[in-house]
This record gives sequence, C-alpha cells and structure tokens, in this order.
Amino acid sequence: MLKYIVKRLLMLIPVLIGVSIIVFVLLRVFAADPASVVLGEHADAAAMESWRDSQGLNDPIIKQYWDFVTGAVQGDFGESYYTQTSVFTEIMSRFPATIELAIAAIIIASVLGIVIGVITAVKKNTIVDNLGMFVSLIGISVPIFWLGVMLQILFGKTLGWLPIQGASDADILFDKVTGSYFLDSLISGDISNFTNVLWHMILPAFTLAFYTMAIVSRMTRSSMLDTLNQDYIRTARAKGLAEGRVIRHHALRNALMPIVTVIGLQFGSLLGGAVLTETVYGWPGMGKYLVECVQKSDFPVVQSAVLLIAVIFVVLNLLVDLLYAFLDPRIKYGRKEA
Amino acid sequence: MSYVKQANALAEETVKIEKPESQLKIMWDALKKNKAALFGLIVIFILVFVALFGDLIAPYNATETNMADAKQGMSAEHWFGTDVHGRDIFSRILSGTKYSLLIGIAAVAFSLIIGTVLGSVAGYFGGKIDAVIMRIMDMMLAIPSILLAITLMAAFGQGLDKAIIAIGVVSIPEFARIVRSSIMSAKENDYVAAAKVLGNSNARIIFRHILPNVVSSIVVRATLGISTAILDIAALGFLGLGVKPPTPEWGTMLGDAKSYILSLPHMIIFPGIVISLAVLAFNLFGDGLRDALDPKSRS
Amino acid sequence: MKKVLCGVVAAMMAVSLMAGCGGSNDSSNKNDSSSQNALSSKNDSSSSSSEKVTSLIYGSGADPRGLDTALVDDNESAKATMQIYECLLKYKDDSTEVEPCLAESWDISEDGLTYTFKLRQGVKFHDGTDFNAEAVKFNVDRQTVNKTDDMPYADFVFGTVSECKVIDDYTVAIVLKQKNTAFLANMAMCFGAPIVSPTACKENGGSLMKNPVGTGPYKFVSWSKDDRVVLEKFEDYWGEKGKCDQIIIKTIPDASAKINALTTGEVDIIDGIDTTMVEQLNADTNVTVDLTDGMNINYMAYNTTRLDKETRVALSQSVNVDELVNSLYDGYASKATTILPTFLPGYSEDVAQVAYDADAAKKTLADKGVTEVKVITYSNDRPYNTATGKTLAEAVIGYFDKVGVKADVSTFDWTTYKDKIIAGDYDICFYGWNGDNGDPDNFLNLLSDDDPSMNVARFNDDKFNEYITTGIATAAGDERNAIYAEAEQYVADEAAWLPISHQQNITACRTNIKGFKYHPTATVYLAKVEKE
Repeated sequence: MLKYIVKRLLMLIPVLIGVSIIVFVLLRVFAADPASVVLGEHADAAAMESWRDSQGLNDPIIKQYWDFVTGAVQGDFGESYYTQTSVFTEIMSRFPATIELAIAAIIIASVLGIVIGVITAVKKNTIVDNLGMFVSLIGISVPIFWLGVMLQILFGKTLGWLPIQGASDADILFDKVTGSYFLDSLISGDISNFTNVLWHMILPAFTLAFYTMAIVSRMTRSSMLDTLNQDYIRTARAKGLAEGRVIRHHALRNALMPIVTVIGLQFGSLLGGAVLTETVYGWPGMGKYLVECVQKSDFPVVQSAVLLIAVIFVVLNLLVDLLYAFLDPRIKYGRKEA
Repeated sequence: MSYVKQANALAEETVKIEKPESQLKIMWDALKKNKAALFGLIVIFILVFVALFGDLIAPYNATETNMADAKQGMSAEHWFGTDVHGRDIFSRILSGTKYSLLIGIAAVAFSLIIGTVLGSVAGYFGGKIDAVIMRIMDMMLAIPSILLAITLMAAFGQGLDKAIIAIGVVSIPEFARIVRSSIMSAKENDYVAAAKVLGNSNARIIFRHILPNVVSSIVVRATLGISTAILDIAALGFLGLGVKPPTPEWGTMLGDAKSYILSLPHMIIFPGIVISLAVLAFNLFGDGLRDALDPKSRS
Repeated sequence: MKKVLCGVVAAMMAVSLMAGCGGSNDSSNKNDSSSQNALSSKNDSSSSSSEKVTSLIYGSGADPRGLDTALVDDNESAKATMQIYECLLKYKDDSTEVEPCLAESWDISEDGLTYTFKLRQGVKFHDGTDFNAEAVKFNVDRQTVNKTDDMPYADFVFGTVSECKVIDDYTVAIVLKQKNTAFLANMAMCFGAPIVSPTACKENGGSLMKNPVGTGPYKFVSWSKDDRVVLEKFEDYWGEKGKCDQIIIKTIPDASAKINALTTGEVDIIDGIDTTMVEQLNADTNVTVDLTDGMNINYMAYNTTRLDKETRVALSQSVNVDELVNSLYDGYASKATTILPTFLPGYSEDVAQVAYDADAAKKTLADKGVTEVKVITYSNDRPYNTATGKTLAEAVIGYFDKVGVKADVSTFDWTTYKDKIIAGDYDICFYGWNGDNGDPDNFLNLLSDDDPSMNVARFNDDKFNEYITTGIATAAGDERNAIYAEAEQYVADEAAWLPISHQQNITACRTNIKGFKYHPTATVYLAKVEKE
C-alpha cells in the first residue's frame, strides 16, 4: 500500500518535468515579449533590451530552464515581472480563494448530482426521470460563462436577491489569515462577515457546479441502474428490506465507485472552469489572474502556477485511486496485477 | 497454400461480421426508437441546412455595418435587435451557424486524426512507445486546456484556422486515450492474431482490422466532442480570442456583447441560447448513439 | 485493516494538501504582518463602535499593479497612490495648471535650466521620517543617476535632469540639460514625481510596491490582491486632513458588476462607465453621474511607410467620423478635430481634418487599385476608447467596405499588440493617448518620436520634427501655441492619423458623496471627498 503511494508520487516527477518544459517552451516561443508591458508606454528599445538581459531572457532557453528548475527546487519561484512581488506570494494570496470556490462547487455538484441521479434511476421512465435528465442535459449544454451572466441578470439585476461580484462586500473587513474568505470570515468571529461571504459565494459556486452536477447525476443514474439490476439487490428486496434501505445501503454504496471517479476527475477540470467563472463574477482567485498573466506575459507566475495546478491534478488522481480501494475491498494496490 | 487461403478467408469473414455497415444499421434501428436522439438529429439537420443556406435566408447582410441603426432592441424589423455596429443579430446568428459548426467539426477531426494515430500506435505496440506517448498525453491533461488554448490564440491572433487548431490540440489526449484502450482490448481478438500470422503489416492490421471494429465508440466520442468543441470556441470568443471581425461566429458575438450586459442584454441572450441548443442537439444525438451501441442500456 | 489504512492515508493527503496551502500562506503573510495587524486593530476599534468610522469606497476597474509610483504606469495604481503620496507641486482641481504642494515656491533661472524649489517645513512621512531637501534629492537621484530599467516614467519625468543639488535643508535646485517647458507640469505627475520616504525605500530594498510610505493625507493599511486596497486617514498630515476616516479601493473588473455595486450602494464612487449605461444611471435617483472632458485622443494611424499620402487621404475620406463617434460613444465623446484636446494650450479651432467624402474616396481608391488593407487593433477598452479597439476597428472597416476596400483585421491583447506594433506589419492600426501633464508637446511629439511603439504611424517628417523641437524649447504663451496650431494643420494635411474622438470621463457617485472630482489626468484626489 505505502509502496504503491510512494511509487505513484515518484511518477509525479517526470510528469512535472514534462509539464514545466511544455509551459516553459510555449511561453518563450509563443507569448509576447514581456518587456513592453513591464516597462510601459515610454520605454525605449535600449531599456527593453537591458531589462531582458537582467531577467535572463536573452540566455539560451536551456539555461533559463535550468535556472528556473534550480530555483523551484529550493522553493524560489522568482518574482512576478509585472508587480515585482514574489510569485509565491502572488499565487498564495489568490489560490485559497479558488480552492474554496472549487470545493463549494464540488460539494454542491456531488450532493445535487447524486440526489438527482438516484431519484431519476429509481423513478426510471417517469416524468421525474425525464425532468431530472433534462436538467442534466441543460447542464452539459449551456456555456458556463453564459449561464453566469444570465444568473447575474436574473438574481442580481432583476430580482436583486444576491450579490453578483467579488467575495465580500467592500466595507466588510477582516484579517486574511488563511487566504480563504470562508475560513477567514469564520476566524474573524463576526457572524455577519461569514454570512456576507457565504452570500457572495452562492452564485459563483452554483455556476461552477452546474456542469459537474450534470455529469455526476448522469453518471449516478446509469451506475444506479446497473446495480439495481444485480442479483444481490433482488435478494435484498426478496428478504423484505424496505426499499429506501435497499437503495441507500445496497445499491448506492455499490454504485458509488464510478461516481467517485467522475467527481475526482471533475475537480481537476473545475480549476479550468474557474477561469471563466472568476472572470464573470470577479472572484479574487487564481483563474482570472492566470489569464491576465498569460496576456501580460508574466512568465514566472504562469510557469509556477501551471506547475501547481498539475501537481493538484496528479495528486487528485491518486486520491481517487485510494478512495477506490477504500470503497471496494476487492481492489488492492501494490500487488502485481493492480 | 490452401491453408493460408482458408485462414485469410476466416479473417476476412470475421471482419465482415463486424463491418461498420451492419453496425450502423443496428444503431439506426435503436436510434429510431429514441425520441430525444431523434430530436437532436433533427436539430443537427436544421443547423446544417442553415449553415449551407443561412446567408440566403437571413433578412439582412450579416457583416455590413450600419452605424445609424446601432444598439436597437427587439422589434418587428430586427427580431433579436441590432448590435453596436447596427447589424441585425438574427441575421448574424443565421450566417454564423456555418462558422460554429465548421470549427466544431474541424477541431474534432483534427484531434481525432492525431489522437487516433497516437492512440493506435500506443495501444498496438505497448511497452516503451505506449509509456512515452501516454505520459505526454498525461502532461497535456495536467495543463488546464483553456490556458493552453489562450496562449496559442494570443500568440497567433484570431482566425478560423487558429481557433480550430487551438481547440483541436487540447482534446488530442482524450481521443488518444479512448482509441488506445479500444485497441488494447481489440488486439486480443483472434482475427488480429490471424491477420498477424498472415504476415500483414502493422499499419494494415491497425487500419484494416482493428480500427473498423472500434469505430463505433470513436464515432460516439466524436459526436459528443463536437459539443465540447462548440462550447470551447464559445469560451474563447467570450474571452475575446475568437475569429476575425466581422465574422459572425457565435462565441465572438458573446464576447462582443460582454460589455453591454446591462444596457443591451439581447446581444448576449440570443447567441447564448443558440449555442446551448446546438450543443444540446449534439449531446442528445451522441447519447442516443451510445445507447444504441450499448445493448445493456437499451433494455 | 488495510481498508482503514487506505482511508486514513487518503484523508491525511487531503489534509496535508490543504495545510500546504494554509501553511504557506502564513509565511507569505509574514512579509506584510505589520500592515495586517494595523487592519485588525482598526477593525477592533470599529467593531466596538464607540465612534462611527466613515469609509469611502471607490470601485475601480482593475487591481493596482503596485503602490510604488516610480515602478508603475497604470491609472488604477494611481487611484491608491495619489492619496498616499504627494509631489513637489500639484495640479489645480480641474486643470493641469500647477500650484504649490510639498514645495512652497519655486524659481526658474534666466537660462531656463535651473529650477530652485523652497520646500515646506515640518512635513513628516507616515513612517516618521522628516521631509527635507535630502529626501527630494533621494527621490530625484533614484530615477536619474540610480535609475533601473523597471521605472516606466523615469525618463519621461526626469529625462532632462542633469543633477539635483541640496542648497540647504529646505531648498533644492534641479538642473536641466536642456530647456523643457513641460518640466514644472511633470513635477505634479502621478508617476515618477511623487516623493516617497527614503527610509522606507531603503529598508525595503528599493521597492515600495507592497508597502508605500508617503506624506499624503492617507496612509496605507492593507492590500488584498484582486480585492481591495485599504487606506486610513493620516492624523499628522500637514495640510487639511482627509474628510473620511478610511478609503477602500475595491477592485471590480466587470463593468456591469461595477455599476450594480454602485446602484445597490455597495460602493460610493465608480469610474470608467460605459457610454451605453449613462442613461440608466441618470434615471437612478440615488446616483449622480458626472461628465468631465478627457485629456485624451483616440485615433487611427496609417503606417506612413506603407501607404502613400493619396491613399491615406482617400481612406480618411471614406470614414464618416461624425456618425461613427455619435453612434459608438452615444454622445459621450466628441469628434476630434485636432489631436490636442480642446482645453489644452496650443489647441486651435481653425485646424481642419480631411472631410468625409465617400464618393471621392471610392474613386481615388479604385484608380489607385487599393482593394485590401491589413489592420491591427487591440481587444481591450482603454481610457480614451471605452468601446474597445476591436469595436472601433469593426466600425471603421464597415466604412472601408462601402468604398470597396476589404480589411483583414487582427485583434490582440494589449501586450501582444505592442509587439505587433513594433514588428510593423500593418497598414492601419488603432491607438490613443491619455495626456500625462497637460502639455501640448506630450501629445504632438508622438508623431516625431523615433520609437515605433510611440510613433505608430512611423511618421518621419523633417518639417514636423522642427515644429516639435522649437515648441518644447519655447516658453509657454501665444508664440508657442501658434507653433503647435501650425504643426496640427500640417500633420492633418499629411493624413498620418485620422483623429477620431476625445472621450469624456464618465464617473458616478452616490448622492451622499460630496466634493468628488475626476481630474483630467485620469487621476483622483479623494482627501476632500465627504460622505454624509
């Protein structure tokens, strides 16, 4: 077991090296010259050249990469070209906000998705089933940012029920301890701060969750249908167990495996979806910031942030595999066949 | 000699049984019973029709500016209103159908071709080649696809061709994975062993004997892939990285409407509805195809 | 047993992943621990609510780049920094005329090369450092002899300075290499010119991007990235103290969300409002819309190395600028008849641009066989063009289309766009300029600059260059104004640019906000703003 985890973690290394090379080369070959954005409207060619020299951008790309890797290994990811702040600080002051949004979204998506999936499976071919599946189809068909804008117009402008921008009201002040608005507002001890943050989170989290919710509910439905046809369910029913108990304890538990996979994989893609959601809702997270950094050619930020996302992605995959083993005792990692 | 002939005939016969035509027929029979999938198919037919003849049906020229008529709401003359350049949004949506469909289909074709080749090679040969190709695919999956697409688009500028490549590149790994796993299970079959014994070249075995048998699952994936591609191009357009103006591509129309959400909401509402409808159609049809191929879910 | 182990390991990994974020964030916060503490103490006092803290909340379109005026070049940063720092001089409330600030008076030597400033006494920086001649010298030297590449405005503001001399504790002399009539105006600019605390600058390794220290009416409290900058009233300010106890500059990137935040009362003031929204805002009784003339020019430039004069004139003739400006900007931008905004010295109403004449244009272009042009433009909105470069370009090529010229338009984000401008592969590009210091030279020398990223028309004309060199060395007055008027007409006839519009600055505030004014330099000074 432990050996398996260590092996998987070791496999991270080549993937990370590969990702960093791809990003590094992509940026330097394709992205615009950062000098003009860093030095501004009045910069002349000589100053730009000298700045590029000072940043090592005129070195051979292999040397640049080596410098980046040696720095990164020692925990030094460099400084943002644009703000001259350490990349670590820049990323970490935004990353928790993205993670909390993604976690909120995954919770909404899993709970709603599984509930819809189970109900539609149990009520197969009824109006409830059709309705639930229709909602799921809409979920995978609507552009996420468009949905966000429509929700803004509906709940923010027309009804005025929910805030449509940012993570908290402008005059709500509390210490940034963890960087997560959710946790920090709790730590502040003032319940009104917390509700304010929660209120702001509703629309973006729901928007981000919608697509994943649809995927989870579709997956749950088909997985439930599979298990409901199995012999042991029939046995359970024959034993005279209450239908609710059969579904919760026997069917759902066994149907959960593929659902967990989907949720795990979706969490990774939520980080991509966060780019659009954060743009629409002005959520102070990484997604929107990263797009800006790509457009500003802020190489140090982009290459480190993408690396971080890659790490999360790979670790999540590992977590999903481990959860598998937890849910299904038949799977044992570390043996040859696995 | 006769033995070889016999074996050859056997191999051919096995292939024949699994021939795509017969599969298509089974699929069609199942599809006919699936109302949702039929609805999707009808919408796709309408979309294709509009793509071919949209410019003829459209009440106005989709690209000609008319600044005097700009920023109008919905009316009898302009059903969906006009945009900031005085162009009729309804006409632009009709005329734009061909671009969105073209990008969606071409992007999928792009990733399908490259993904199939990579997946086939990896799945068929296995070993080191497999490991190398699939690790590279893993790396691509670990980079958020939207960032990859943004970097490519930002560097090359807008354009139909660039959008196709940017969106195509990011979905290569998915196709490669699917093809690889299909190939790996298919190559265990007897007819492949038979074809090998007969000394067929690897390429021939892959393209003549294995791929035709996994084509159905690829078709399903590709149909669903078109819907994803349409969503991706819409996202790029929304971020301002779509096609060249004045091309009336749907996603780009959304991007142009972004600044006017409160003042001219019709600019963003209608293209969004049409995009959703198109994506929905491909999803319904793709689902129907998959169900038709999978006897388990048909029952 | 194995199963439990799996679960435990999975849970531990999840926890450590989260802890990794949290833990690392702690360390990142340590850098700013002083400011964080300040925020919390502030909070404590407000939550005890013995006295009501008035916070003025300003909705801004983008996060500041940084809070060190020597190292940034964006107006979003200036919204925060101009409350924190002050310059030797300052602009009057609604013009670019200068008046005393940290310098009480000044003398200009006969030859126009030495500027002697008498400094205000008893002024302290927020960190307790004394403001004096040494501090001024430190700031000037920082951007001249000690200049680094990453100071975007150092050359613009101090480029003509040869040395800064300390005469006594409260007198400095700045010596120029050549005459520069715009120098005094530069001394009030929001970039480069503000005076930072030398102590703080040295302590922080020469960069005050995250922890600014100035002499201004507000001092820095905290900055939460992509969210808000918090400032509080500086009680020991030398002049009239700030009206509000606290200023919060809230980042709201989405234009619609920004307007929503104002109408719901979440923020007090917003700027950069899209022209299509003015009517709706005017209808809201809780909101006052304020329009001020912008010190800017929004223009289309011909690549003069690729298009000859006749073609340029014909293309300009094809564009109905009146109709375009009215429609695109809903009447909140005025058609540009000159490069200079109307309120700047040197503006002349006698200048005539190429007039709209589509028929003549069609004929000329057909005769010359011009059927296609390569156009590049930017995708963002800019202060001088709220409708974005892409929208403007699309409108213009609509007119080209009507006279039989097809345009191949490529749109780029601003960064990439500047690269493409430097690369030079275009017939036509779109650009604009927001004035820095209210001097006509600041606008017109764009057409004589050697640098193609400034002079995007790549216009190189000896006669025009002579106007510019004479103009900058001539003392302010009628003679100088006449030179610029003549230069304007000359370049209008050459059709190097098609000037399109001067955009108005559209701001809005809640009706309980008094005394807010948007300055023509696209900066805001908030100390005098009251919240009732």
